Amino acid sequence: MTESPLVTVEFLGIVRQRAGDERGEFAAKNLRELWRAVAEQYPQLEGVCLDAGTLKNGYLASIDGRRFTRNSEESLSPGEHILLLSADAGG
Amino acid sequence: MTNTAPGYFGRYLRIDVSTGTSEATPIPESVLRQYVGGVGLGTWILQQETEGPIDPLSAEAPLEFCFSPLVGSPLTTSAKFAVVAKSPLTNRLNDSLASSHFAITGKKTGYDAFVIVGKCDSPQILMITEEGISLEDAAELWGQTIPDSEETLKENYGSEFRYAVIGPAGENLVRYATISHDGRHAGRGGLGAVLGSKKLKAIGVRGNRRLEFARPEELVALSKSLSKKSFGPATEKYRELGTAGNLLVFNRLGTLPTRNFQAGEFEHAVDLAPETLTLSREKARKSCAACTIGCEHLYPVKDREKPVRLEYENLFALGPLCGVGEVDQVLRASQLCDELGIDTISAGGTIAFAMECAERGLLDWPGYEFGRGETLLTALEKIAARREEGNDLAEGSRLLSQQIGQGSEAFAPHVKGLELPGYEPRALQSMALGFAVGTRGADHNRSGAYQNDFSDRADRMQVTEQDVAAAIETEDEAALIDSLILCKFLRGVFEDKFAEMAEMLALVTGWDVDGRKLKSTAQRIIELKKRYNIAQGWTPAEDTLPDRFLSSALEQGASAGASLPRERLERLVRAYNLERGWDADGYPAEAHDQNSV
Ligand code: SF4
Repeated sequence: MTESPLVTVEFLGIVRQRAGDERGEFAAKNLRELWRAVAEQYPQLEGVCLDAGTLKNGYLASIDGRRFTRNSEESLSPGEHILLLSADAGG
Repeated sequence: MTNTAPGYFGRYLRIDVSTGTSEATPIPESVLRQYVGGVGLGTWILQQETEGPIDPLSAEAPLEFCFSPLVGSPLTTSAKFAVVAKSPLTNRLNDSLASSHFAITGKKTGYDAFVIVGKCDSPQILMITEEGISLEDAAELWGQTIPDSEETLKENYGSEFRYAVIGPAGENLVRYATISHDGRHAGRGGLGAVLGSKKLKAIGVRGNRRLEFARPEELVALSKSLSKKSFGPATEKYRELGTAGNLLVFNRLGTLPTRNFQAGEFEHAVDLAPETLTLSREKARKSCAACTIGCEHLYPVKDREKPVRLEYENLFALGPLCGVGEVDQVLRASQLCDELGIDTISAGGTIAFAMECAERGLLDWPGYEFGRGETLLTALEKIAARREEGNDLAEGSRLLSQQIGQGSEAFAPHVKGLELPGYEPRALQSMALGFAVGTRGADHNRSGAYQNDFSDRADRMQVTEQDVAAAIETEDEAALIDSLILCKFLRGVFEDKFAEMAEMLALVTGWDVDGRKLKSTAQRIIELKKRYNIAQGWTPAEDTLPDRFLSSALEQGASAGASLPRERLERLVRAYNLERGWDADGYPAEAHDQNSV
């Protein structure tokens, strides 16, 4: 069985406030697995940006800060940086 | 009194301060149905009141304060008004919004808008009550800061009146002077200079007229449910961090304009971020009148008695844009702008531009270097007083670049004269389109196209014609929100914005209105703004961005390599014009002309 790649999740904005951490490392093959792993380690994010292990509406993942996605089937590569943030950029 | 729909008085008060006279002017209900209030109604009145191109600082130039049908209702965030006039910074239409008790009290004088024309011989305060108007001597106030003026006004005339006030910047006709009240500002486009040009230091309003609503019980029920939703997750960012919460996010994404848009990330962003500030400073939270969200976060400033309200736009413009990373200097700069009555975005943009010119040897102004916080603070004081180089800075980056020449126009950070807010257009290209076509210039409040960039629907660094409809949708939405008027930070609580806003309007006015009709209303308002600009001399060449953004790529950070070739922006603008039903250059068709008013 292939091992899941290790990726870094960086929490931003309100997610960081709730997580109480800037980042965490997780092993996950795709975003679906990643959100489950994040929810397990940071249960306080349930109801904030995660809903039963999926990404809530109004939140986005950014792969290496360049491309936004909400696709749970998006596969992950080792060493990738996933930013987890609110989609509301009103200022 | 005109017979009109509930939520309105069906008339505006036209005041000529040269003669000290006023006259109630009826507004047909058909006009209210077509343009609603706020920015929409203000644009319609401006067009009625203006014959041909006009000098925005001349006596005949009208300055309007427009209310809306929702003002005074129990709907959260509805205590807002629009100030509408031709801008001395852009020479185009300018509509600036603000919230405070001025809106509620102003409307309760019994008018849907005040239109001020003329010019006083000496500094005056214009007092407006249900009984009429009067002009009071303002010699004592002339030269005072905004907080001092507000205090003196309360002492002299009591707290029954609510005031809109200018600072020294407005008196000295700084082209980006603000109009302020209760710590809030109609900030963009220099309408404080328009008030100053009429020699009006302040406007005081006192009114107690009863406001009627068509279906009051249902309106109360809807208001309660809206307030409840406004405490929910959709507004959490605003309640917890305020708009300043954008700073670290934008920095991480490489979209934080830094050193006059030479970079998209700033090495001191963490020091300035609210997440860091709250660790060492006791912050306070406030809200505008009648708001249940409360996005204002106030932080103490070193050696100052009063705290300062910190917003993303102030922070970006006076911090990263000028390369200043020392937090107390940035907070103090923001406070100075509030006290002197200066728009933070235009001030930061113009000073950052001067810093770059000086670093390139195009200007011989000692101390103008990125990162010099003392220079920033002194520059703000000089701008407000139009002293020394402050006199040039007070003109804004467009006129300053024309004065400097030598190719500096390529990096003067404005569209139509209005300095860009804190969204890097090469890395947020839907927003770039919104900036280019904006009727008041580069503006994130009249187009929320960044919402498309912050989504999985678009490639924010390579936006195509497919994204144009989404950009238009946000512009329509803003036109409607600004005419109703509500706070845009409520956006996230709606499931179907147009339908839900239609319901509010129906409960207030009794009109049979739905989301589809309101969508056409929004488009009609956008078109009217465009027509006003055309009458004032707009040409298609204005709908673009400074050359820097179209000829160079971002070099560092998460958005490194992002570029916006000129042809791409031109294609987007063309697609935008056609999608709006205009010709490819952006002129509305004659058929539209007949339908619109
Ligand atoms: S959310 Fe903020 S800007 Fe909007 S009305 Fe409330 S306090 Fe004012």
